[in-house]
Amino acid sequence: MSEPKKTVKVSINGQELQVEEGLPLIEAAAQIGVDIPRFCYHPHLSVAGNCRMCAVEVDKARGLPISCATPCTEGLVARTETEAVKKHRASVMEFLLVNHPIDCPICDQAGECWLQMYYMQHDLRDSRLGVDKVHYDKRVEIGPRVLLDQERCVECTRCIRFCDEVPKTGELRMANRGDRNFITTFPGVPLDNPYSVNTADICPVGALTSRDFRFKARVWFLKEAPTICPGCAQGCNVEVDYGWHDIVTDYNGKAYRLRPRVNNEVNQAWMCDFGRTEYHRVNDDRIEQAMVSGAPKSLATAIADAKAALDAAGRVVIIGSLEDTLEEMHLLKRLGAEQWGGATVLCSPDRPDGFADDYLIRADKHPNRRGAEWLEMLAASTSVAAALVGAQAVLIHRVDLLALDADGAIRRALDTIPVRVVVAANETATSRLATHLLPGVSFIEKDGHWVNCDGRVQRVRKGKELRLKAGTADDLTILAGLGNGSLPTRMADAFASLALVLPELAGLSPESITEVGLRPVRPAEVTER
Amino acid sequence: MTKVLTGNWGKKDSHLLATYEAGGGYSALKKVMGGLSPAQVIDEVKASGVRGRGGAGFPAGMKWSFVPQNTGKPIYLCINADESEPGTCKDRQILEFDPHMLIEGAIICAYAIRAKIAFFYIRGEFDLPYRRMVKAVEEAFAAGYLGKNILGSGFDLDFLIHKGAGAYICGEETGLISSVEGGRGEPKVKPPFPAVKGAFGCPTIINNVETLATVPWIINNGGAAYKQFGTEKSPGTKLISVSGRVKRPGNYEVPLGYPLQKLLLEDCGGMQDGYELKAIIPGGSSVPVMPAEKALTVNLDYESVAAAGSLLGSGGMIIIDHTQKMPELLEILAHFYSHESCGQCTPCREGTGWAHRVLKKICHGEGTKADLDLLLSIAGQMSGATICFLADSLVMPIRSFLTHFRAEFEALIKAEVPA
Repeated sequence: MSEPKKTVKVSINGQELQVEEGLPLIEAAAQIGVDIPRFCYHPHLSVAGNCRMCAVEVDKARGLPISCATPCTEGLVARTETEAVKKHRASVMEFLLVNHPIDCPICDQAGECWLQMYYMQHDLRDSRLGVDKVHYDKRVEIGPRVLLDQERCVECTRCIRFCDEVPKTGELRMANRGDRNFITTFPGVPLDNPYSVNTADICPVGALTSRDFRFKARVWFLKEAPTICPGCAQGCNVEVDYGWHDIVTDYNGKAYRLRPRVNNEVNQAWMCDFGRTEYHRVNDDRIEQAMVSGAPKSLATAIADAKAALDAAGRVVIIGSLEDTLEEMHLLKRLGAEQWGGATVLCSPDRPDGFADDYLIRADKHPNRRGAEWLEMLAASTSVAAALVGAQAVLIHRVDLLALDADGAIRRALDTIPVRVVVAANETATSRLATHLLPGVSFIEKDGHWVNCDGRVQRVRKGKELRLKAGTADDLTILAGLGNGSLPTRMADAFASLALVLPELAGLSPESITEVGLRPVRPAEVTER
Repeated sequence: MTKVLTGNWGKKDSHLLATYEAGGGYSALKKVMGGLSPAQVIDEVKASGVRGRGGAGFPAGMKWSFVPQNTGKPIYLCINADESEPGTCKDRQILEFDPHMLIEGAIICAYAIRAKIAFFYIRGEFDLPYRRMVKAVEEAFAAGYLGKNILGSGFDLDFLIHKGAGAYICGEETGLISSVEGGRGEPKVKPPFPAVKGAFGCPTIINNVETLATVPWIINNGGAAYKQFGTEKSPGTKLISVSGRVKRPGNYEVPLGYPLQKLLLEDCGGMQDGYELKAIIPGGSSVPVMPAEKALTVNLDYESVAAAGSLLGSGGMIIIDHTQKMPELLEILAHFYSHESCGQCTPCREGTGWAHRVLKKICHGEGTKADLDLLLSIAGQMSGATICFLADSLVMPIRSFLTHFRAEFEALIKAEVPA
């Protein structure tokens, strides 16, 4: 255990506070809600001190020291909103705009651009430029997933420091000097590391943009859902940006991108490039029409038909996915125990192990394998076929069983089962085999919890403004509809029901799972299991 | 008068070890290795009061005493031979004519601060100085002045020559460190200062060539003897590089406090025939320009020049005659500083380039009255707002040129057409 750090008393804008000794002043200010503008400073990267935007007044210091490189010491007195500071900020903004093309109308960053934001807050003056701007290349393909506009760059070097310090691949460098300098890559070495799109996220301006997101949407038509990346077992915290606007409705309900959300316990401020593609399944191949035996039905009718067919079957097998929330898995278990007495209930993987590294990318591409372990539902895909033998009905929740069916055994087993109820959000080979197809929701349209590879319970959250697609229903509603009426349909109720039986969640409620998630202290018997 | 630095200049083969030794060279090193402790060396240098000759004028002995000796990390000495300030050419001639004097001073300094590696950072454009240094260092290694167990004292020093690639900013001490480390020549945020955290994160002392070259004399003759030259606050002698249309331009070693007028009229022989003195930039291109009448009244020491509104800086004295146009000179300076700005700090990167473009516009006769105020405003916004002093190195010329020679700029302003 390291020694607890010494705290010191500092004063910011007349307000006194105790902070850890050596904490950057810019962070101390943030603790009392004082937002000091910055471009180059990023809490998860080393300090460069080059943008000069965060300069403030500090007693006994010469000039205006930059708050990112000013460590807190006992008795430090700082003022962040004096005339001198305001003048300095306006001056830095003017300098930054000297050679900036101000092409906001065609810039993806517009609406989330720090130059725009700070110009409104700290400058708001007419240009005094009076001479030509320096011009540079506006479309540099520095990597397969990131584009560079050298004119828009403010040379904060966040992207350079990111590549040096996080993936430690060091692809980016500054070339040339003065106002002719620009970000570039080494010849023949593109920006192609598994974390490259983070550079576009941390770029405070429109210099680095994601090629996937480029020209797809205006950010002011987007809302964000703070949720978890479904791409692998790491469970990186993300924001999913989805379209929702009352007047401009073209974007509504579509997801546009995943961005990392800070969680220092899981992913710091980053996520991988693979995870970012996961939003596509919110938009693509969605099932929006309930079907029974190939004929369109209303969802309610289809649920009733499916329930009747399942109830009538002698032996039911229930197979969930490793992407099911804990609550969904719990309902599957309860259905198996309470509705179709003694039904086999499993959760099966449907994605092969993939690329992994020693940072954020796990080989296991399922977000809730650990949850299935906790609920004792985890099955190898190879044992699924055996479980299906002799079943008269199967309830398949989300999982694409045929994706990991190399020898065709699952397919052959499914063909022998007359009732195949599939609850799924996306069309898959498995969903096409359904006798009863019930359209569920995607991961940004539902609430629940996943357990990541480290046993951290994290909240999967529905986008607040999102309304479900017509013809679909929340998976909990559908699953409860297959039961006898005693199953919970709300996430919180399902969680409470699960907490009664799962030792890891004993005494917890969704409210007790904080922003950073929660790693339950595991009871001894759980550890032994 | 006694020559501290230039005593060997003019001797045949003054750059060779044999010549240097024949003139008493390396006797100071022998004295140090014969029984002076590092602390005694630092005390002697402190007693001399010698101030850093790179331009900032920080007392050298004081700087050496800042090196923490308890970090467990290696300590480095960096010798700054980047000499990039326009108008300055003094270090170049020390390296050409008396490289062993510098090497001896550097060894003594390294011993005092307990450095085992000295990085000699030389300006990339210096060819003859580079070759002479390489030769001199080889000689010093062969003679046992460098390497393991120097003069049987048990003290080791390795001496590495690092050639720059031609960047003004690598003469700034943290820019130099970045370059020695193999990175872009970009100054680093201070604090931490190099004495605490310098090259490769280790305590580092950076001294100018001229500063280190005085050390052998100080050790041989004592700090008190050195202090008898110059003024009380600016002791010792200083090399002044005089350029421009004087009869005898070149490097002059003068005691600090020497009257500028005397240097110009007697030593340099006055202006060339047909040219009148208009202005003087006394300490390298970055310091404020002084009109002739003001310049001729100052004495060449740090305090007097500062009191007269400029800086002694590196001692690169640029003489401006009546044929030269001040707006064009300032445009050249602005081009130089915008070209040499490393580009990391916003105000310097954008401000120097902007100021240069405005000046170009003025020189082309397309400027307006507002452009002159804009220049001063840009200067004001750059001043003191950056990691290093490069931006201020343009701020000082802009302000002083416009203060003393505004009429020349206004003469270039196009007549405003009434709306």
